[in-house]
Amino acid sequence: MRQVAVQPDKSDPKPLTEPVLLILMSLASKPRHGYALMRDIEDLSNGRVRLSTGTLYGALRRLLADHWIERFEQKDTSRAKQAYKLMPAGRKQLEIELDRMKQLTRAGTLRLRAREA
Amino acid sequence: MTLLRIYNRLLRLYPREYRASFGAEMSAVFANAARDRGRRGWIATICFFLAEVTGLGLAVAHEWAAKIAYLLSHSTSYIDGRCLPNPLLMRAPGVSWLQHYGWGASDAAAAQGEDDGTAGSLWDGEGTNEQFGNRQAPCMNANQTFALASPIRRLIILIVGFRECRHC
Repeated sequence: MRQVAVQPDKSDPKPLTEPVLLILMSLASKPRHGYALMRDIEDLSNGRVRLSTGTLYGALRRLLADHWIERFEQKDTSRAKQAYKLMPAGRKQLEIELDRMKQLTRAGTLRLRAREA
Repeated sequence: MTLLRIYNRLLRLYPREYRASFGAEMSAVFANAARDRGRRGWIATICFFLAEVTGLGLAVAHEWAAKIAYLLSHSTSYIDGRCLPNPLLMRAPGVSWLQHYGWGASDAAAAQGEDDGTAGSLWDGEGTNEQFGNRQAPCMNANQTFALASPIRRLIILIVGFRECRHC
């Protein structure tokens, strides 16, 4: 079979920033609105990361532009809230990032063990 | 609530489109978070407010930079701008990708492939189309904006280069 020159893939995964990773992780289980996201991220990171509203919505804007998440009206008993849910592209990026971190962890652990030995 | 009023004033520093899209939501989130922190005492509230203002300042700078970079070569909103399809990326029916892009060296190989009946399967697959569809050329909006831009803006676009569109 003839070989075809492979074009560099523009969707090459780059390491995600911590806020983006935490937002994707938070949305992986269920859709959430802004404040719920903020609280969940604080819980996820054991209180280490507390995103400011500006940082949170800046990251959400970029994720919406990349179609990694989607915005939808959440019908609430009190009032309609804008909630965010993870899209397949976002889930894929999250999986890639978690795999990358797993690999790093494995490599780091091996180095540590080698040094101890 | 004074803090909320100050925060709402600060939200005006964001670009207009951003404010229209996220302003009300950000204000509501801030109000909830401030109420939550208020229960932990006034020191916690002040620390929270300072952190919010710092975060907002950085985010405002980032958003303006993103807006300016996008608007330099686009005439649509940087929040939800959609590009018109670029005719350069459209392939007429019956024209192969090789002919479409004028890849001479590969053309010969394709012609050879057509002889042995492999060219069609290689170039007409959905994955292949997707792969070549991702080739980035300046989007139609970028071209239109450039055509209608003032000489100074054109010069800046040529120096800085076309800003790739996230929506293409």
